[in-house]
Amino acid sequence: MPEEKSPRPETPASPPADKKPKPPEKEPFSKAETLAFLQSALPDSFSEAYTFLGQDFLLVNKASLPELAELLKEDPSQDYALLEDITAVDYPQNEKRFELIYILFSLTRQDRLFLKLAVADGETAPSMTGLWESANWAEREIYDMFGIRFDEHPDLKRILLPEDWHGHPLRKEYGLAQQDEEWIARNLELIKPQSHLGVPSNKEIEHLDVSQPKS
Amino acid sequence: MGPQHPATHGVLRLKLVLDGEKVLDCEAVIGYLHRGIEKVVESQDYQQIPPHMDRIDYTAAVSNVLGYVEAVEKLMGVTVPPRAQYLRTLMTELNRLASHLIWLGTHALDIGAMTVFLYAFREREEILKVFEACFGARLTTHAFRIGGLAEDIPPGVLDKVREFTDYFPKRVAEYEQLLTGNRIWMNRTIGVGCISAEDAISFGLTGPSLRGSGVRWDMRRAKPYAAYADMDFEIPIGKNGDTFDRYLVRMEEMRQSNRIIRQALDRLPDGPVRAKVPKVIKPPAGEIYHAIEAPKGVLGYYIVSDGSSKPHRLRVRPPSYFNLAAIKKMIVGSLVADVVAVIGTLDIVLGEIDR
Repeated sequence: MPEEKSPRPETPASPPADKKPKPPEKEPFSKAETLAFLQSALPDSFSEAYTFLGQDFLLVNKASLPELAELLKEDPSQDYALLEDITAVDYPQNEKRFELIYILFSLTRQDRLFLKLAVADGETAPSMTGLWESANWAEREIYDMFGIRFDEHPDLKRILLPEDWHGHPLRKEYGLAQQDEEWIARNLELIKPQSHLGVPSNKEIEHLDVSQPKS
Repeated sequence: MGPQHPATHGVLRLKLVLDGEKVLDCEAVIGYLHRGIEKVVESQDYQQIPPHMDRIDYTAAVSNVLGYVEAVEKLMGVTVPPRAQYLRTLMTELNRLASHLIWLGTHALDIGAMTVFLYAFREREEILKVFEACFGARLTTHAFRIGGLAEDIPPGVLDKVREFTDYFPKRVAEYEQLLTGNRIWMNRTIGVGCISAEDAISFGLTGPSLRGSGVRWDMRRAKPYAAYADMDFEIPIGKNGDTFDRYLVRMEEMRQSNRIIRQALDRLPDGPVRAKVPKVIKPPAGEIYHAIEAPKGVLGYYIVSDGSSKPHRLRVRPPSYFNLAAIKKMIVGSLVADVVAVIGTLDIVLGEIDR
């Protein structure tokens, strides 16, 4: 039964929005007292502070990151007690291609602070495991996916991929369908390498006849 | 223990060091369900990504998509019409109920209470029917689009939801009758898997697992999204941080979710359900972090856009990942039988942990 349809609600006559809304831009750092506090306590610890879409970023210098993080966590005026997440972004064109992002949350201020650290390929980053337990698995995942190593991490090994896997999938040069063919050949029954063919490529695997029982 | 074990809710392997029945050490081995979702979405258009997000935590697909579309909307500066905001709130809370009901049923089943499982799935079925009517799917719903909803919900569904909210609190009372004062249930959960508030914060526990330790932190209140700023609800917390407290917290959360759904039904505004967005979504270059309170805890999306139609990077902060990391702290020193209780109380979904 067709329902009696109410007339289609008209879209409210909104003011003619400009065709192209202005792209968001960097603004001055919004947490003035945090900035003043850090400038007096650790003046050289960061190179830039800005706010983007309401998010407060600090570009941190590597040497002072542990000290800065500890201060933000322990000092009662800041109280960023929770490390919500650590993640990394790969910018292959940059001189220091990886950017680590630490997301801190303060339960008393109910607000976030983002720390950014640029890391070159092969360079290590200081581990936050001494300050937050949550850094343990987060850093392991970054190591697994990007190959960034962390100093003084208690148990830095792969977490999602097998321990003897080669390659770090979230790097930009890692192909979408790329796999560690050798690992697969070693570990998955279906595609045992045949000595005269060597390791079959993925393309060859597609044409393998698996309907016949193996001899 | 594992990777194939009925109590691990997926494929989780725990390496346990035992002395008789006592757990001396524990290491969680994960990754069996790794599908490389964060890599795959880098090759997808923004509009194509929500179905992938459904499959992160497949028991709470609606929440996952909500977090993602809101993050993209924030980056683009899109304002979603109020009706869509309310419908999103309503559906997300229904999804929270569905997810908590799975937790309740399987958690009780793991500990040995068969009956609750059947009761919980009876109510969950009603919620899934609502999803099917609205989105055409029961689990992987692809519920929301960037800018709002795909279309308004079909007529009659809201009455069904109202009917459901009428009897649901009585059903929660029924579950509680079966469990809360039950001698066996209490013996198996009180004092099991304790974690202090400081430890919970340090491990990055979120959601009911954190609130069970007495920390009143809920993203719906801390950083309101969708229509939560208009909703009146309480954030239940526990005291001792044990399995029993987390159980009570989740039971109360179900009642509060029911309240939110009622409010959303009562105040649901009229109007369009989708803002005008371009066919091809190209957010301006920049980055955004947006986190919501998923049923399991804080679910965050970190999206880096380079101005093209595909994200440069999309990071999912899965709550279960961080919650599971605390398992060692919670079970070392207890008995093997308690391991099953602790896995249940953390309410993990391996699809979300491994992505």
